[in-house]
This record gives sequence, structure tokens and C-alpha cells, in this order.
Amino acid sequence: MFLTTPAAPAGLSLQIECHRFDLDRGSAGLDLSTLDARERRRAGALRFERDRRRYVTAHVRLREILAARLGLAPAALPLAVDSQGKPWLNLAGPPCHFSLSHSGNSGWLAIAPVPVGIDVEQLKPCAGLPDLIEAACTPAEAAALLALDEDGRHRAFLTLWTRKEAALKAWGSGLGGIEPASLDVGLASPGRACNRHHPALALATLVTAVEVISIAAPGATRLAFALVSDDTGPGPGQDRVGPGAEPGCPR
Amino acid sequence: MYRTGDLVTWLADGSLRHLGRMDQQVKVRGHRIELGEIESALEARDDISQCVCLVRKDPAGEARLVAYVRGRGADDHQALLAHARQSLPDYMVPQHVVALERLPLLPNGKIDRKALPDPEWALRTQAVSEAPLGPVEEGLARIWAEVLKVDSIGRRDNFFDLGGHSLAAMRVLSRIEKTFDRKLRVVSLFEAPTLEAQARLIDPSIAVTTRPAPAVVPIQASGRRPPIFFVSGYGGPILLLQNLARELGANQPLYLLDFAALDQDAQTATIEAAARALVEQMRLRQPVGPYHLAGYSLGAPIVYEMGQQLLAAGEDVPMLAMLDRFAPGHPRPPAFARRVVLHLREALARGPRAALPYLAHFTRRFGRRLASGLGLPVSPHLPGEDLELLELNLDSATRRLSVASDHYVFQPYDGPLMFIRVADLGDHGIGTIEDDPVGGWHELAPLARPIGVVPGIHTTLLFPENARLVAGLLTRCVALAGNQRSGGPDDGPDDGAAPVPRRPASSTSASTSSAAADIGA
Repeated sequence: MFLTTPAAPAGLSLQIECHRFDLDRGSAGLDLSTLDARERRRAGALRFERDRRRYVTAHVRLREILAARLGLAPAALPLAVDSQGKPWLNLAGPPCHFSLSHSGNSGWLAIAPVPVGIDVEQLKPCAGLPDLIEAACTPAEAAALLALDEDGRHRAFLTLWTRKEAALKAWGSGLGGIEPASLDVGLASPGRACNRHHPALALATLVTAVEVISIAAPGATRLAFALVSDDTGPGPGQDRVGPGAEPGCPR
Repeated sequence: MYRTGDLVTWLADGSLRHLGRMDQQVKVRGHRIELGEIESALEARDDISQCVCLVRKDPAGEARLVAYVRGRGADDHQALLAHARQSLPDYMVPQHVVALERLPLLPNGKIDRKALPDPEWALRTQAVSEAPLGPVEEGLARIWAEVLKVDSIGRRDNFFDLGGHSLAAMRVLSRIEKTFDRKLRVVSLFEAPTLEAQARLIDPSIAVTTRPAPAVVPIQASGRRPPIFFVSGYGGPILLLQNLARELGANQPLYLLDFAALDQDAQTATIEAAARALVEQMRLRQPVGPYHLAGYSLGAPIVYEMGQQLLAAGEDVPMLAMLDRFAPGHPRPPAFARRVVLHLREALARGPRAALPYLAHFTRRFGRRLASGLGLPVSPHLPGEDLELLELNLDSATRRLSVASDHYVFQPYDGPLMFIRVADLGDHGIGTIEDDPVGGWHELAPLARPIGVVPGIHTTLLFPENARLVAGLLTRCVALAGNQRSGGPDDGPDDGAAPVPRRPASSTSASTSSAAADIGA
């Protein structure tokens, strides 16, 4: 699946290549030997067989897809992890950015020419939603959510959450770097992520750089992408919805 | 009555209880094992409907006990192993668990044992960790259990290893705020992902008041670089380590793990036990990896074993520095005739007065080896052998460990290993060949690499005149460890150490806890 985003700088359209895989199917024939020591250790540390199987499947598939693009053997793919925990390709040549996410048995891989983040959550009622909203949302976001009815609030929260995670993953810090409650992503798509508490910092980083698009994904999942580009791109409120994208908070 | 091959026991009410088949006796690591007993033990759980146990050879050819299980509880390997450990002797606890939705059957309805899949050998089933301690850990365990929908949670369990993802992390943090009235940042869960570490964030007094760590001696506690945990050899190394700490600079924390402070005899009976005890105390100082370890002399096999145990626990050990400790069988001796010639030449070079005692010493050593080879009794150490340091007032822990180190078996090691040696192999060097810059470690540790050579002999490695050089070499090890983690360039800063050929390091990282941007986040 390809997704053309309106978030490209200077009129260029950026293509995000997207792969979806079922993490519970076909793990029997997987070639574990392509995984490196870190991936095996990570898989070995997981307590539950199901989580191991899903992790291993996702990483074998990740290696297959990236290796095929780059003309390498899957085991030879120089997959590294930076100090923030973000996986990257330690390769010379044009950058190949990617991001991996899973929810339940559904794994997603996004590949883009600029730093990209993807996050997916299965669409289902969130246990303890009021606490989650308090813990994870900015006051503006919380107010927007509380204006919705019960069903809409659950959906919209997951939209917000996937956008936050995608933005943080694109930015490279992950949840370990910025508190989600200080990251304003809004519900408009496309939109921008900006740091609520440090606007000056955000201008230099997230606001200028991260574009967030929510799309409805098959199989009742909420899916969000974030891209980091040098260009500031369109601001929130500008009507630049691209193909495959839909306005945030769909009912 | 006739033999059916079934193992049954008479119960008090006169009925028979089926204990499993008796015809599957096997031998693993010298123990005779009845596989049916293991199967019955696991099937005794309500959430396991069927279990088949087999002995399979792993790729290294070692016999391993594998349990194939079916049922609701089949996915929770740790709970199964914890259960097995309660009802079976250690050598009967399976090493691998494979969950299957159904067991393959033969046309006659019996289980088709040949069709059972190999376990994923590389993915060892982890040992279950200790139960939560104290009210904070217990309360926290309840929160984790509820959010993650997991039954038993140990104090060393890692949130992300239990399948915890980012939304679950938010739930845990908001529950912590409600229960303990304490607001933790999201980042804290990545920095302190174990139950034990998170409990300490909630109540910082836990560590100080209830868990002393007498073996962890801070030589230099401040600094922003990852701390080096150093296990030393004989003698009182603290003064020598202070020189080292000064040269390492204010930014590099250095802790001595002092095995002499291990007070229970059982903790110093074997290298494995000492390593376990030191890991436990080190974890009180630093609950999760990455761990940077260095071992000198007797400390080297101990840190090697600590590295093994930490890797087995899924921890990141980017640095394991071996200071003047060669791999077993190294430095390699040349042929016997060549050794005789070398010793004669050395004796002559020592002049007429020293030649005879020198030759007598080596002849005695040869005689002792011959006697031991023939099974005759020999004293543990030769008088006058190069063991002056051993003659010092050695505490009993050191004495016991120095004996234990002779019995320690170095198993293959997966992590990066850094080798530092002295230039002069001393008496031991005469008649030995050293042609391998990594001291033979490559055979056991494929990621072994040479770091540098320190002038002098084994016993002077940490002497003040070498402090600056050794500090430089250790700094290099830490830098290399950091690069391995970030997948950056292979080369560390050059600290003016003696040049030795370097081998390319793997660019793989061993980060375990930073699942932030990886799958599962």
C-alpha cells in the first residue's frame, strides 16, 4: 500500500510505503537465523510465547522487506538501535527511514525518505478512559474529547494517542523523551505536533517538523503516521487532506 | 494384574491415580529422568490440559528437556516453570517450553512425538524471578497484574518483557498516582522498567533501609558516564583502584565489587554463586542494564560468569573487560621438547647461581603434573611457586574462590568481550606461545577484541605507574560499548595505548529495555 502525503516540503509529494502483516499467522516457516543477537535477546526476554511469536514475526518480516529493497540478505541488514531505542539502518547512501508498530495480531511497517513514525491501535473501548485522558492529553485535547459522546470519545482518544506516538517515534525520542501530556497533536488531519510547555523548543523541533495524518485502517484499527521534514509545511486548520487520509475523529 | 507401563499410585481411598507413563526413562546430564513425572506435574495445573516432555539435542548437541504444552496457561512459561520447580527436582525442570494449540497425532491416536517441532533454541525460557517484597512492591505487582492481565509478577520482571506497551504504561502510571499519590513521568518506566526499580522510584527509602549492599564499594560514585563495576583479584585493591578512579576522571563512576565482603560460605563456594551474589548486590546500586563490567585476575572468571548470568536474564552487557586473563588453554604451550629448550636457555641467562633453583622449580612442577596425571595425591601449591601474593593474609572468601576458579568452566559467551593483557608473561611466559591478540577468547566469545597491552607483569597491572594507561584502556572499552549500543562507528578515541590489531566489532546493539520506538511501543 502506498500513501501520498500532503506533508511534503515545497510541493513535493512524499510517498510512504506501508506494509501490513498478520503476526499470528505463518510463524512456523520463519527463518529465525536472520535475526541478530539483539533481536534474539529481546525476543528471548519476552515472557509470553505469543509476544515472542509476534515480535519475531514482525522483525523477520521487517528484515525481509528492507533487505529486498536494498538488495541485501536479510541477515546482513545492518539494523541498529540508537541511544533512544529507535531502530535505524546503519548504511551509507540515500536514507531509508522506517517505523514499525503493532497492536494485537496486526503489524505495520512504514518506509519513507524522511524520518517517519507509525502507530497503530486496535479500535476498542479503552478501560479507564478518564484516567488516560488526564494522564496523556493536553488541556485543549482533553476539553475536545470531553465534548464528545461516550463512543466518539473512545475513538477520538485512540486517534490522539496514535498521533502522539507516531510523532514521538518519528522524532526519535519515543515515549521515553517527551511526556505525551505535553505534546499537542489535535484532532485535525493533517496537523502538527507541538510541545505545549516549551514552545521555543517546539518551534525548532516538533512544530516545524512533524506532520501528523490519521487514516482509518482496515480491521477496525486506528493508524497514524508522522513525518519529520526540514520544511515547516502547512499548519493546522489548513485544508490539505490527502488521498487516503480522512479528517480526524471519524464517527 | 499385568504391566501396562503406566505409573500409578494408590490413594488413601483405594483409588488409583495415574502418574504417567513409566517407559520413558531417559538420562540427562547424568540424571535418570522419568519424563512421565514431568508431564504429570505440569498437567496437574488446571490451565494445562496436556503435556508431552521430550529430550532433544540443541544445535550445540546438548541434551535439553523440552515440554510441549496445551491449554489456557500454555503461554505463561515462567509460571509453568515456577510450578515445575516446586514439584520437581531441579534437574527435571524443563529448559524449554513450547505452547501448542494441539499435539500432533499418529493415525492410531497416539501422540506423534517425531512431529513435535523444535523449540526456538535461541530463545531460552527465563527463570521466574523472586516474589515482590514489601508493601510497595506488592501493591505495584497488583497494578501490573491488572493492567497487563498477568497472574504472577516477580520483583525482577521487566514491564516490557511482560508484553507491556505504551498505552499500558500510561495506565500503570495513572494507577500509581491514585494508589501511592506519587506522579511518575513516562520516561521513568523506560529507565526503571523492573518492578523492583519502579518501587524504589515510588519510595526511595526502600533500598537504603532494607537492602544493604556491602560488597558494592563506591570508589568514585559521581559522573555521568555509565558506571564501571570492577571485580579485582587478590590483595587489598582499594588503594590501587583509587589511583585508577583519579585517572578515569570525574565523569566516570567506578565501583569495586568486593567478593571478600560476601559473608556466607555458600556465596563463595563456586564462581557461579559468587557471581550471582555480586550481580544481586550490583542490582541494588543499578537495577537494570546496560552493565559495564571489568575483572582482573581472580575477578576475571567472576565477571565472565556475571556477564553470562546477566545475558541469560535478558540484560544488556555492552562491556566485559578481561584484564590479563587469557582464555582457558591460553597462552598455548609449544611442544614439550621446545619447552625444555626454552627453559634451559632461560636458566642459562639467569646466571650460574639462579639457574639450578630455576630448573629445580620447573622440574618439580613437571613432576607434580605427571603425578596428578597418574592420579597420585599432590599438594595444591608448590612451595616457592610464583604465589607470594597467595601467601599474604588471604581472607577465607578469597581462598575459597581461588580454589573454585580452578573448577570453573568457561561457557561460550555471546556479548562483547574486551581483552587487556600485560606485556611480560613472567615465569608463565617462558615456554608459552602467545600468537593471538585476543588471548584465545575468540573461540568462546566471537565478539572478543583486543584493547591494549600494559607494561610489566601480571601482579603489577594496577600499580600506580600503570594507572593512566589502564584508565585510558577502560575508557576506550566504555566508548566501544557505547558505540555498539548506538550502532555508530566502530572506532573509539585513541588513548595512546599500545597499538594492537583490531577486529571489526558487530554493529548489533544489545538494548533490551528501550522498547520506546521499537515494536511493542
